[in-house]
Amino acid sequence: MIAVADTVTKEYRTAGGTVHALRGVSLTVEPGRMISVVGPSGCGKSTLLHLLGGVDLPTTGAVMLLGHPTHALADAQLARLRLAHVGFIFQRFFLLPMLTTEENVMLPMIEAGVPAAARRERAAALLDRMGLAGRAGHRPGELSGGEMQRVAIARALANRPALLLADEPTGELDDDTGRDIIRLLRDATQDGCAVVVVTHNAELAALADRQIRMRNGGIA
Amino acid sequence: MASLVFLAGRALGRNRARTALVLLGLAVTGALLLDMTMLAHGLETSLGAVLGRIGFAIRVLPKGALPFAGEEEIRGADQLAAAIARQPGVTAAFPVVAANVYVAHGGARFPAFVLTVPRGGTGAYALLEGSDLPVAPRPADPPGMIINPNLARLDGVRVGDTLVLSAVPPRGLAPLAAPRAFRVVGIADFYVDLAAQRSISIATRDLRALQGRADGAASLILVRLSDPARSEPLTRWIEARDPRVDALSNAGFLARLATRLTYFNQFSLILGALSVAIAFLLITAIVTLSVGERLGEIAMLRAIGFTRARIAALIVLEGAALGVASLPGTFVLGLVIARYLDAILRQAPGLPVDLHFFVLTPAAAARTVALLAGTGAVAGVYPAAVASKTAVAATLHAEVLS
Repeated sequence: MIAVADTVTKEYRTAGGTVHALRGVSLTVEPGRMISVVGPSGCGKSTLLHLLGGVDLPTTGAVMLLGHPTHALADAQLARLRLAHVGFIFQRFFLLPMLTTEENVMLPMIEAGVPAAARRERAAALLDRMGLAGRAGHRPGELSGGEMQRVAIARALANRPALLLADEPTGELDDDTGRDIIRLLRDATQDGCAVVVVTHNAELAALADRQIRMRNGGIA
Repeated sequence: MASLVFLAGRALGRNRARTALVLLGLAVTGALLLDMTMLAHGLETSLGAVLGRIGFAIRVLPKGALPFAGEEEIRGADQLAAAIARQPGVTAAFPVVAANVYVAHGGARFPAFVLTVPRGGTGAYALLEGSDLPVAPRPADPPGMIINPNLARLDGVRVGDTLVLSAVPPRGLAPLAAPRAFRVVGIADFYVDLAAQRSISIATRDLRALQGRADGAASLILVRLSDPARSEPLTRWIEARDPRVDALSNAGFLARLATRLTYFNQFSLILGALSVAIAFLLITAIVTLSVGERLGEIAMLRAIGFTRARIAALIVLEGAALGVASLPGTFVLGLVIARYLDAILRQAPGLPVDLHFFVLTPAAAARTVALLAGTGAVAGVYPAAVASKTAVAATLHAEVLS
């Protein structure tokens, strides 16, 4: 298994009291499969995604990421695990504006210490796959929303992750562009990559191998 | 590390107008820092260069004195100089007598400073016109004299003219010697000369005769060595032979001068510290502001695998990059300001013309570079702590909601 959530709960303490974001969620993420997570705002979709990716830790229960219990790893170990095996795609893209498209794609490879020639070759192949071969030297500000999200997908795939996590990847895109993005994410599963997509869009969610509906911090 | 340097460098181009304004501000405060590092040791460095030109390795002075700074003299200087000249490695030892005199020329009378420096070469002047003092003047001729360009220009004196020198009346009841005529044999640029001073060089025996003195005293003794590295053992030997004198190598002489110039060091330390503090606050403020504006990006970097330590290092490097990027402006502005400040300070009376207050040395430049880059890095520590503590999941969530 790529990732396993076992009876996971997540609570946040706020000034207004304790928020129960997740209430005993269990989920298994298998290689080469795409899971969509749908549900109303505040139901815990993004929290589940963050726990699966190891950017947050459960209050109780356990998340196993590639066989490692995330709560037992030091912050630096967890970061290295994410760098090597997890790709993130965000609703707001988070491309670095001062870098070119190619440099944004190469960022995880630079951090992972991939040699310059290899990362340049990989970035070119990914941009070509995303239909952005002619945009390598452009800055994010010169791209459309759909193009920026495709760059973000290329960046997420740069280190050949085992798990790709996408949080509302089509949230700021029109329907046609959103479908393109989901298709690109589906394509990623052909390499054996597991994909978990959080979305509000039921039509796009239906394109996944498995659909999970959440409500009030639990799987409905 | 290379990847962080790359990202930190690119971060400078994120908001170009703001970065330009910050760099301008840093260049102004950096210029003050550079000027203060130049001022801290400028006079010593400048005097060191003059001493190097003059070419003497040791100066023997009355104990605790500086050359020509008072009326103290070395009694028995001729005998001491002769004894020093016999030491191994000593190529010459000259007693130098200095005095204020009056010069009569063409019906006018004006004061001048006369000293009996060794003849030409690397002595104390560089000949511009005419010839040097004769080694063995004919008894029938008036003794020769070298004058500086001030005397030539201000009083219309030319090579071949005859001037009458008279000693300034001594204190007490000592008899006043008769005036003597001297013939100008050359005009020379004196290495240690005041801005508007009339300077003269004549033979030691002639000045003593003019003063009516035959006591063998001198203001200082200049010693030339075949190997300047041997100066320290010789200074110890001289001081042991005559406890009434200090024998100073060039380094020792500069060290003694430095004790008289501590106010320059304090002045430059205070203003330099202020400029470092301003640079620190400027960089801290702008980098903290920048971190606050891109918490989402920082959370993204953490999510894709940057560790807390790498994020902290990135922000510290951004601070250092600002400091380094301000260096070209710092040096251009600093050197221009230093030039004007130096010109103002050099208008003070009683300063040798070759002395400068602001001197750019490799050490001063390196100190400024290190201070600005270091200040930038230290200024990045607080925003680095803020950035590295960013809660990844909460920040990503908040970014979407915003």
